[in-house]
Amino acid sequence: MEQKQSKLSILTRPLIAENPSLVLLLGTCPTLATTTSVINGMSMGLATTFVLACSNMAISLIRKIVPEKVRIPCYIVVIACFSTIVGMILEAFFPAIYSALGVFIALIVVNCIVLGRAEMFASKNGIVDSFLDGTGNGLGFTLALTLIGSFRELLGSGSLFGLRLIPASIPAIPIFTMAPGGFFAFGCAIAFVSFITRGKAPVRRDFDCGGCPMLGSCSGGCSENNDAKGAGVEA
Amino acid sequence: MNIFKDFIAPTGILTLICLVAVGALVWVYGITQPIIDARALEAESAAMREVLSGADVFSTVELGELPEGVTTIYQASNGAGVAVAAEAKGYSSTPVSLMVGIKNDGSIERVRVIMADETPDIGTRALTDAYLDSFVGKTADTYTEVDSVSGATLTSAAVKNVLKSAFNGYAVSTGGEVIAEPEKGLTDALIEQYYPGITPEPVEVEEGEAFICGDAGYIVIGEGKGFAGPVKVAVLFDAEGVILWTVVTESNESPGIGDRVESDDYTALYVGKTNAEDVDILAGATRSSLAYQSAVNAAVAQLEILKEA
Repeated sequence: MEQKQSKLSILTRPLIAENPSLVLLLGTCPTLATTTSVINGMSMGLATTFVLACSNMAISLIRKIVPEKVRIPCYIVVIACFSTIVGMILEAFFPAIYSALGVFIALIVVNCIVLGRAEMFASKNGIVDSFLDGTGNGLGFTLALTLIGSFRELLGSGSLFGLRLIPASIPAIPIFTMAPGGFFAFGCAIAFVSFITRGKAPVRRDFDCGGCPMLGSCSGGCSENNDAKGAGVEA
Repeated sequence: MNIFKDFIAPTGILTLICLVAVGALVWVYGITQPIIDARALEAESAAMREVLSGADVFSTVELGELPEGVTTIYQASNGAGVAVAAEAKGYSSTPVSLMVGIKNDGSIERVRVIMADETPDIGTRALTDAYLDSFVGKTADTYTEVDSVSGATLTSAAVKNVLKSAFNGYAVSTGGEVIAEPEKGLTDALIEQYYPGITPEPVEVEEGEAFICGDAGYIVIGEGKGFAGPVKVAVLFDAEGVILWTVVTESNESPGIGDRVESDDYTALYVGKTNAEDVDILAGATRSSLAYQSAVNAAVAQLEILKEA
């Protein structure tokens, strides 16, 4: 019974197959709000990656001393600390990105990807694995944001990375830089990922733990049923 | 032991984690804050030099109280003029913040954006350098002549409000007074103009308010429902019930659209009439015009009752 995932698979699974944003549909708020351009989406993704990796490591480090009762407040303090640090660093060294992302930097604290990984992975695994898991999820998130951001920037402003690709004589579709276009692009990206992972993504077999896409990192309702869990990870 | 396990240990560990987090934040803050401050200062002085090219070194003007909307006033030490950082609310919750360079002769040299978060491609069309450059050379009396950008009404209005604050800041920095807002509504000056030497006496009416101005006439305030809440209009009648003048005392109509019915050009259309019939409706401000008319008609109706009593 192989229960441990390989280090490589911890890092790569969240990239596409278990992408936190496009497959698990976590962190939708920043996904919609910060993807008005590639550079915004990408920097938001990288900032979140930093917070994810650091907080996963820190939480893994303190997982043995944190009492069960106050674990959520402890995780929140750790995550808030790293979010604030990332905000201060961005403001000091990348002011343009900081002003473009605005309040969403501070809102990384309540990004459910970060707390989700802390609760489901870092609090049960070692430091190295937790770091890899955080980095993988962060990069998966970054990938999703970059994909949606390029789609929206190309159609909404006719450019990529601020570089104009579509001549100014062809009018852009500004709605793509606004909220409705965000939903549209988000939906397209989900459909795209669903298409390319057809047959590879976790299939919802039943409405039990075996069909849950988070089975690999969850020890919730079916923790006693390790056989099902192991099988799910391998599937 | 249970008390320790259930209460003391969780509290203690949470406190410990918080202390470590605070320590880390203090350390990072110590490193980043000087850089952030320096950058903000640098950005502001670059903006100042851009809007006032003739200046050498700037110093902040220290005043007890700055005019409304003005953030800071910087004076060029060689007397080239002032750069005023001012802000006003546009469409976004983040105010539109502009740096306005005003030369010694009281005209604008240049206007640049310090910070704004207006809707991309919509509100920002009123924040382009091209639009802001149309204010070059304007003075406190002429800046309102510049057209607003259609489709970016609120942002255009914010730009003009910032300029108003900036001119106030300029006036204060040169030892002058803040340009007084022309008083709106039913002012004493207006009453004096139409009923010289008379103090209006309030009388009880069923709706709205009314005043008798001796033998010279009546003032009745009528109300109509506009696009954004009630529009209250004070109608000044002579003794015969002919309208001498009308003026809005309360309204919340859209700036630049519905509120055009408050202009003197429109209110003057009612002069010499005995009711609101035959008065034209202002194109593009239909609902506000109708509100204005029904307010005037309400006032006329009250006047009839008042005269019978």
